[in-house]
Amino acid sequence: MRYLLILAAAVLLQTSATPAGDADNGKTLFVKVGCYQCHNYEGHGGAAGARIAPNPPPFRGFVSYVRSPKGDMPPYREKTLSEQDLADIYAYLRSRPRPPAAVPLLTSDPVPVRNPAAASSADVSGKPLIDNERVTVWDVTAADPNGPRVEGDSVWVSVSRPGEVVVKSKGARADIAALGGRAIAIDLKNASKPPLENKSGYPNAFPRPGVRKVLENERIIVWDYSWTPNQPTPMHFHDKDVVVVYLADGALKSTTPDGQSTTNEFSVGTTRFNLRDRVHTEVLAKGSGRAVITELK
Amino acid sequence: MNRRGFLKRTAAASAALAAPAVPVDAQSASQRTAASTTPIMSAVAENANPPDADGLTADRTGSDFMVDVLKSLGLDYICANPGSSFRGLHESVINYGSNSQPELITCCHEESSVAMGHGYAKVEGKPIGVFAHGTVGLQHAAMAIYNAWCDRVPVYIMLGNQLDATMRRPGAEWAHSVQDAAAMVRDYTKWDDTPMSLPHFAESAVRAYKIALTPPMAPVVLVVNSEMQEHALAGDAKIAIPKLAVPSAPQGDSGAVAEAARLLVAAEHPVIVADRFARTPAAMKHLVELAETLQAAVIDQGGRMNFPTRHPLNQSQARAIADADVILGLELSDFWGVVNSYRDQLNRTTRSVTRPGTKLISITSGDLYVKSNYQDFQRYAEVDLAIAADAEATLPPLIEAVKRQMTGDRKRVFESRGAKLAEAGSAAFDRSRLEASYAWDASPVSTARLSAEMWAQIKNEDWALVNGTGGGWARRLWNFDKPYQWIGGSGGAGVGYGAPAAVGAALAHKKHGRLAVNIQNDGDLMYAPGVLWTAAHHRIPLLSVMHNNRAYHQELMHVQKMCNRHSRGVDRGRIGSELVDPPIDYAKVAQGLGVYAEGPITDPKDLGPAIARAVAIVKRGEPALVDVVCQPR
Repeated sequence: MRYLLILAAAVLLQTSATPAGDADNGKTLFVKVGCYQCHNYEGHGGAAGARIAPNPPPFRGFVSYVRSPKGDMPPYREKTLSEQDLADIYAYLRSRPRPPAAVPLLTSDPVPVRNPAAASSADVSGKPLIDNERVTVWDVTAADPNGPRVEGDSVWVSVSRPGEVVVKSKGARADIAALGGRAIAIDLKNASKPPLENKSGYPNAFPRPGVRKVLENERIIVWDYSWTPNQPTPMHFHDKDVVVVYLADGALKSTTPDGQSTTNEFSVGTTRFNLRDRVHTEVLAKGSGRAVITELK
Repeated sequence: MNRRGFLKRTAAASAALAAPAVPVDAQSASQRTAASTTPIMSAVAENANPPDADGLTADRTGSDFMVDVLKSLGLDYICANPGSSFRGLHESVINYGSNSQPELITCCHEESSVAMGHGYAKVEGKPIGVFAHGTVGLQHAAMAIYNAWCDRVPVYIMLGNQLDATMRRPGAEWAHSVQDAAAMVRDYTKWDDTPMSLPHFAESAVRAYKIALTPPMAPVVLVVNSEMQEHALAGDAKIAIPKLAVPSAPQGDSGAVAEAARLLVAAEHPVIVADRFARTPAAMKHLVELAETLQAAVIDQGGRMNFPTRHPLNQSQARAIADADVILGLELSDFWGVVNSYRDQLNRTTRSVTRPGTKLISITSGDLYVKSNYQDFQRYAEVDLAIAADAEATLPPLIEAVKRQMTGDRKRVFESRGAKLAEAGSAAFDRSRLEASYAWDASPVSTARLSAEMWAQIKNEDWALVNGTGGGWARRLWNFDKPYQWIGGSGGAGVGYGAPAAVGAALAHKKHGRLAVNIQNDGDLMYAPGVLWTAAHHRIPLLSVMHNNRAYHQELMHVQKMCNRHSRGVDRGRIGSELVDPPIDYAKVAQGLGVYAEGPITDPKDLGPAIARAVAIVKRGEPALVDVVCQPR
């Protein structure tokens, strides 16, 4: 059973000023006549009744609703609660403290992912997007100051600011706010693999025309690449495992030397782990295409 | 031994007891005389050779075989308050069966036994057993059985009873015997039987298990004759135990599933509502996939752990029903209540809360089985497509059907819809956090503060909430994302479910090493607080934090409503519903039952440290309780 007190509707009925009331007596009455049962002692509401403090609706609307509730709330007649009693209760409600400006216990948790595209790829539950022998990958927002638990060296690819990448070492976290509020964190595991020898007869995937090398260290090479519509990449060989973070909405058609094709859709924030030892060419099949590609040494 | 053999042996035993052929009255009179004059041990008896032990002891009994059957079913535990009508079974479990699989759990009330089974089954997905007297035990157990029935949860109940009047001991055994023991719960159990032989027992035991686990699931009862339990069994007697094959859950008809998919794909504002949907850990994954494929709003009514609370498509705190053009109901206990509102005033009125023309699709195993007497089936819902099937089993083909019918155009519409829903979900979450901050420092402690303080202490553990929601705040503020983190409520709204179901669920979580958490209402605990002793005795780790509002508060509000309606004393509404004068000291109650406890806590600043200390106790493998004096709701 829910006593839904929709006082807002009564606001329009307000026509006169609020009478003087005795907040102390209002407090007593609030308990005595049972208001607290649904609205709680502070009038802050809960499962059974709406919040009516510290800013109740205008007095006339308040009285009107109490006398003749629209929902499940029991009606209070003059016989049991006078106009002055209601003024006292009203004064009590208005005397209740406002909530603290900040409550760390309530604000320290991550908020649900707002990006709908991420809803189908990012895990909102605090679990990684990818977890394998080489990397653990997380989708991180600025509202999640406590997570993820990055343990090793890591690459932080900004989703909010395309092209910005930060590298951290030994469990350190990047400032997500400084990266625009959302980033993909790639936690590198200690599973180094030397590049495969290229016997394919095609060039390596990177570098390729139009690509920008963002950074390189002893563990990774990070590239920023945009696909141009109707311009396939050269056929190429991937000699390293890669983590691809897409920064646009679109689809890429991949074709191998024997003519086999697949099309993969992506949206902003979609992140994929691709194994090495692949030969193919890519062409933008839909939308626009940009990604930050991290090659794992 | 086959049935004929058992009956023959029973007949022979009866004949032996009846011999010599003298008038019964005379024999009884002579026995009474002898009993009243013969000393316990005469001099003649002391000097005589020991009597032949045959007939006084037995190496193997019917109840041993029954334990073999129970082991074959994989029952992990038997919850029982001891009773003479099942003393044979009791002894066979602890000795013949080595008190392992099943292990006997000592309960202080049969309602606790059944409710523990209720909570256990919702975590593990399989029942545990309950032993009880067929009369006084079952009468205690009845309320908990009704809850499990309403909640569609299997509990495997065995009742001791002495059918043969000539075999009954004088006195209490007559008061504990009944012609048709299961009759009093037949309206709210799925199946019962009174086996007349051990082969009959074996068949019925396996059949009962199978029936209990076939959706819609429900409690079952076996009445186990005391004489049959205690009867000697020949050492070489071989009785077959039938093979168990639990039926696969019924999937929806393919044509109906395709039609449901068509409606969902074509809908502009589809809403999925789930109640007792999730039977297995796979269910949440299926529902997430369906919702994401459609980018549809999901309302989780909380009958089970159906959908992650912080998923962007979770609209349980938003108002999605009013906009819906297609509503898919998954194992709803009350579809009518989803699409209608009810006004509880002197003149009771209802109104639809949906748009005209909204299509309703129902998938529920409830359509496959219903009984008459008890009315938990709720008002008749006028749905457009009723799929009589198990919803969880039907989701994979429904997802495939949706994917087959999706077009590129529809997909773009879905993505746009998903973006709006995600914003609405985030806004609802933000509103919840803002609302939770009101009365933050109040005393008594607000239920939002209670929930937030608990969450801060458990969120980095592998936790599971087994009972209570703190006025709904736990579901609004905590991040539920694993299938075992919530099990729903009582089902029948029978007060007294919470504490024992929490202990039963904690027993199930124990072997997985999870931190079981219980938000315990005060009125509920007072029904059978002895279950705290059971938790302490069996070292069942469980964190209980009291939502102690010192009243049966739901009822208090009902009485208040009557007071207002009649305008003759709204200030006396609390009489008969409050638990004050004296206030109950739950910490002392718990301590007296062997449970670590703190409280009563009235200052919210004391709450976090107290819960932290209790968590440390629970992580050590023991139960702990923190009593918190709370705001009412």
